[in-house]
Amino acid sequence: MGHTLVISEKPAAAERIARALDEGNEPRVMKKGRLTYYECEREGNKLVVVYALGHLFELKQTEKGWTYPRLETEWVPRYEVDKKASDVKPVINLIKKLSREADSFIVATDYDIEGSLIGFLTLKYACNVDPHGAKRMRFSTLTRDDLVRAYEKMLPTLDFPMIESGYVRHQVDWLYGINLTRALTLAIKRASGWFKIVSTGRVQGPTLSFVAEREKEINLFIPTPYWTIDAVGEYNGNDLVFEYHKKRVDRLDEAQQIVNELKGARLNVSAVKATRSTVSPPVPFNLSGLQSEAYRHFGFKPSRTLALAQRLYLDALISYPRTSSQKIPPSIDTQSILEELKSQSQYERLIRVLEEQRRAEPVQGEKTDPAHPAIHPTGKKPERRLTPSERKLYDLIVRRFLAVFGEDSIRESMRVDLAHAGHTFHLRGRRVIKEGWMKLYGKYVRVEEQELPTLREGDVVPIERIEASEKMNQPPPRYNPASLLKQLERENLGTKATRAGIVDSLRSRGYTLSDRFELSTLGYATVETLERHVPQILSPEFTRRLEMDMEAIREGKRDREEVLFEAKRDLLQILDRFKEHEEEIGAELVEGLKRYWKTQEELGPCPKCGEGTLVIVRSPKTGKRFVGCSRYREGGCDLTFPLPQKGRIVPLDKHCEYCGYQMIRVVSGRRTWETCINWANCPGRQEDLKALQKRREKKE
Amino acid sequence: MTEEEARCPICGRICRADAQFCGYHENAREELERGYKEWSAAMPITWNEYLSQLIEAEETGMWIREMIEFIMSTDDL
Repeated sequence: MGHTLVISEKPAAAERIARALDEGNEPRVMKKGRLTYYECEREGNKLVVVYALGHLFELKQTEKGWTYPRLETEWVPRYEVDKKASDVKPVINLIKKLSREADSFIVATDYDIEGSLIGFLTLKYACNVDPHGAKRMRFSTLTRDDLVRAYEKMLPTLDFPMIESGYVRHQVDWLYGINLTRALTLAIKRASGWFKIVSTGRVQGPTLSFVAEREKEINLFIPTPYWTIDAVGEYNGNDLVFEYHKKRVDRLDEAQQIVNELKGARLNVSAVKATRSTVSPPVPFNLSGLQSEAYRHFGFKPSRTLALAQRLYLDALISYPRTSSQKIPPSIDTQSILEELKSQSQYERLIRVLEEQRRAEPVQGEKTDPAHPAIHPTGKKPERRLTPSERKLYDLIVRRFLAVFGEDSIRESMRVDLAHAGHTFHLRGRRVIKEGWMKLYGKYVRVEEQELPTLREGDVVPIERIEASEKMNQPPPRYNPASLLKQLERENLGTKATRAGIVDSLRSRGYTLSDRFELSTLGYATVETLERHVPQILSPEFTRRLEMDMEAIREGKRDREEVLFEAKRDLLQILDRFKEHEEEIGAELVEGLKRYWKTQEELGPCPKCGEGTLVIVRSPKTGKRFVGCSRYREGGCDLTFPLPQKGRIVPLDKHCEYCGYQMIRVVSGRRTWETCINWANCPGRQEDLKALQKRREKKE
Repeated sequence: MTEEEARCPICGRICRADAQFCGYHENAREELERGYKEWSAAMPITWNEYLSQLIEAEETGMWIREMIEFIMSTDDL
């Protein structure tokens, strides 16, 4: 009798699945070269648990040539299209070998579009079997109970609509990404002879257009003045800062008149009001909610939060993180989770608090996900020491989970109205009457309390100081990683799994500078060129329609082939238009690229010869980089400065306060620091250099 | 792109049809004029005072700032 082959998505998941399914919880650990797989016994059946390494197969064009259009593709092992993916080959070979002796197959990958597609492609191309005969385990956590339940209540077939949707998403993303990137790159090659890959894609184009639109608003912003009336009174020896009833006065003469009328006035307390409001707990986390909150509290980029959450999931500490759901369904045994969390000393006290004030049902958000519940802890104790970042994220998830069971909090807002000759001022106070869920969410709640003195109607408070302060209205803020991700979600572009990567790609491909999403000169050139010649590439509507089509496939409302046909037809139209303007597009992009490289390399005028420009150059002999003068060859200016050899150098638009030389930012891994190019001799750096020397000596 | 196409005197981009500047700086010029109406309604201010105050304000956008510098250097418009 053959065995049942269980296909999981990752090595850590395979181990957990094997441990859960083996009746003795001790599966046989099998080795094949560097690879591991597991053999389990369950109800007299032999289960062999193997893992994929994410996608084992990728799309590849069937026709040869690095050109466009290329519309026909086939699935091939990933190592054929990605030279770095050599580790995939032995995994495919092992699955092939083990599948020969298998008489049934179970897909136990993550239950989402990508996971389902990984299972399908592995069955079809590695196992060479008909995927229609395979069964599907569906789970949201990697805990033993959940996995055993998923095995016992296995779905009789794979989720084919989800697979179809994933299948077409890969094809459409490949078609648009490959063809448009080649179109841009080849346009540059034709115009300049350079081979510089300039990429775009189905979602990347619209994402870039959001950043460009915001940049335009900021660059065209004209601040307009307004005035606030700032008045301070005295009551029982305490200064009271009043708020004028008009938050802003739009004309200077009106503001001056108000000040003149109120100088030295005595304000009468005309009303004292207090209102109480209840504040419900926040809703359970979906992925974007978690990413947004983690950015706010810890400064984690969305991609980092996703990677950390994925690690916590593989450790069975939290549920599947790639979810849109803001709901904790009744099927989740929340009582057991709370009891298990209680055994973790840092949460014991909070669970006791919760036991005293727990609401019957957790608060639910509006968003749903057919595949997974909201992100929640499993209650399991970490089996290894978590990294500080993992610990922070885990704590946030646990506390949010506790908070959704907390009672409403009650806040009191107080307002005192003070009047004089038709003018009104307010004093505002805020306090929390009942903490409720805030106690559970703890440090992640920000409440500013403001106490008020006891004032009664008829009391008189004299104005001690009053003035009209000129203010300017503010430009819209630049996007940050979290707000750009939110924007993609609002516009229904990309998926919860891909958005974080798309946001990161704008930076890594040079379209934006730093995490503030300031458009680079390359970003400007790309947007301007595409807007002029092929605006569909930047259009959110265009790609949103494709997203809706793919969702319709998942719901079984549309046919994959039909959607793919339309996507190819639209792409061909874009590429035809591109070809017509290829020469102009190339010339414009080359101009943008030149400007971009210039800003990346130039550090301003040479302080020695006054004619050249300081540029970052690399020695042809040693390969080391340094700062030198552009007039070294023709003018003989030999001014040089050493540079750190590791990390990315970003010229800054400021000068050193000690020596006046240009400042640069060095980004090396996660470390970022700013220094001047004269750091070796800068008086402001001498203390740092001495400290560094001491540290080195100590080490030796 | 043809040889005849005029270039923006501020940034070197191609000028908008029948315009002196590129799209960005043409928009900046229009915004400057619109903004002056708002500033004049808020306080008594001359065009030159308005430009000086804007260039001092840190909130002023980059293209607006570049347009002001251009106006001040050419004493044009």
